[in-house]
Amino acid sequence: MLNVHDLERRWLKYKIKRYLPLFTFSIIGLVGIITFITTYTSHTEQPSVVEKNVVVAQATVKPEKNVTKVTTDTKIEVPQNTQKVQTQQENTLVLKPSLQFMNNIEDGLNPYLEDNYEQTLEDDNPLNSNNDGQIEATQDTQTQVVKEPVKQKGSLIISTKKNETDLKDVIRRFKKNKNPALSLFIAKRYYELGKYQKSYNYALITNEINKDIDESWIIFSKSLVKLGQHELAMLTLKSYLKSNKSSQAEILLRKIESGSFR
Amino acid sequence: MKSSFYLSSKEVFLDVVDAKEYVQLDRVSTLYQSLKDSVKKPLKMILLYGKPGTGKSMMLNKLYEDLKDKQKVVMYHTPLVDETEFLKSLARDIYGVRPFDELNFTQFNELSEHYEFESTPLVLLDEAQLYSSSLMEKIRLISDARKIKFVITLHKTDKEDIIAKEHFQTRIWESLELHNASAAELKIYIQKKLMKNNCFDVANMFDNKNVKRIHKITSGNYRDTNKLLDSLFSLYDWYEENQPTKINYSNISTKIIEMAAIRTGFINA
Repeated sequence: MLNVHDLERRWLKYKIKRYLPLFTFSIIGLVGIITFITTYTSHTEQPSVVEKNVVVAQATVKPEKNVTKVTTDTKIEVPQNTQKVQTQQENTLVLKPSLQFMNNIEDGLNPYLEDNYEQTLEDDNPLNSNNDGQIEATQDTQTQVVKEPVKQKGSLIISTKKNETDLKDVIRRFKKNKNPALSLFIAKRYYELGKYQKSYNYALITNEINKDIDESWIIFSKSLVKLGQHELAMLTLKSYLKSNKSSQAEILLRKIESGSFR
Repeated sequence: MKSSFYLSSKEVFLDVVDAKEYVQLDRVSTLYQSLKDSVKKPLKMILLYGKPGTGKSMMLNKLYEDLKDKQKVVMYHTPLVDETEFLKSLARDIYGVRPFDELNFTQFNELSEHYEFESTPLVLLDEAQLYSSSLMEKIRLISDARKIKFVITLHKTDKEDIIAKEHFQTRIWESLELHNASAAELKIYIQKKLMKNNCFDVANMFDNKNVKRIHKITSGNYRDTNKLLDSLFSLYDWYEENQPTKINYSNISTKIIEMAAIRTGFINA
């Protein structure tokens, strides 16, 4: 016996059952798409916030990251440095940056380059071996060498290069072998070129690699002074002098305190 | 269109094995021709196999109808499970001997020695998978003696391959497999069946879309299709009598196809 009404009811139930999953998935898909679009739109509407966060992150970045920047980006602004220096004032450990990034550099020391560089340093700074009372003379001589390369003939081939691009090769070599002499050289050269931020960074790296190099601490302190951080420079020198005896550092400290070096 | 058209259409799809209702489709015709050719060959046994509802019985019936006037041919639709009964039936139908109380295999062989035919008598056994193994062995021995030729139909199941059976492996000289119809074949099958019974208007109501739906429901199985269409036309007949406005005369309604499928159990709702 045909019960068509019952069949129609069952058919309707069947159709609902058949299309319900499709309908459900469509709704879920639609909601998913709308959510995605909304999220995406909200992200794209707040780019300035993200950028600000990045700036903050950069300001609190450890010193070695700044150094990395020095090697890749020559436009480091002083205000960022100020932020960093303030951080260092609060914690003296900042003066000893982590050099974890250096561990990523696979190559070890290159004896050839090291020797070569040391020789260069000697040639470049003939008064470097002198002791007390000659720090100023050393600095002046270096400056003079840069400014008047013609006067330093023969052995001053590398040091007479003036522009910053000449440092690229040294920086590349330093990245390979982590030789503190090279980083000190770079720090000095940047200092001579008036790039005190970079000079500061490389001096910092040098101090980390070898904390007993007077020149490095002196360049570091001088850079701080040039960057307007007199107090920090004096603090640094005092801290250094507590554990090391360096007449050059003492003279510089006195000059900074008296205001004759600024 | 009158309501009786749907009723007559419904009768077309009654599930009966009638050779007159046999529909020639390209693929089936080719197979049928192969079967007829095989019968003419000096084969001992011919196997016709396929899934239930693929038209084995119909083809066997068609073969019987085509050959019965040309040669001695006997068809058993229902399996004869008892051996004696089977042998007695063969003796009666082939040799015209109305026997004895008992007829064993040896006696049957002796009997068959006394008769000669112009062409070997043909015995068509439908649903042969229902015969016992011992009886199948006897059938094999009879066919080996070349006194009788057998055409048997078997269901092919997923679990077992009939041809792999030992007593067929060595005896079968020809085996033919029947398949379900494709959607295109099903459309031809439905329309031919309807037109054969003068239901031209109803035949035109079937288009590719609704035949495809029917094919999806029945997988192209002829028996299932007959069952579904029988139910479909019952529903059409009811709508014609009670709610004629709901009938679209241009084509078969998918809704009614699905209702028929629910009614026949092809769709679980």
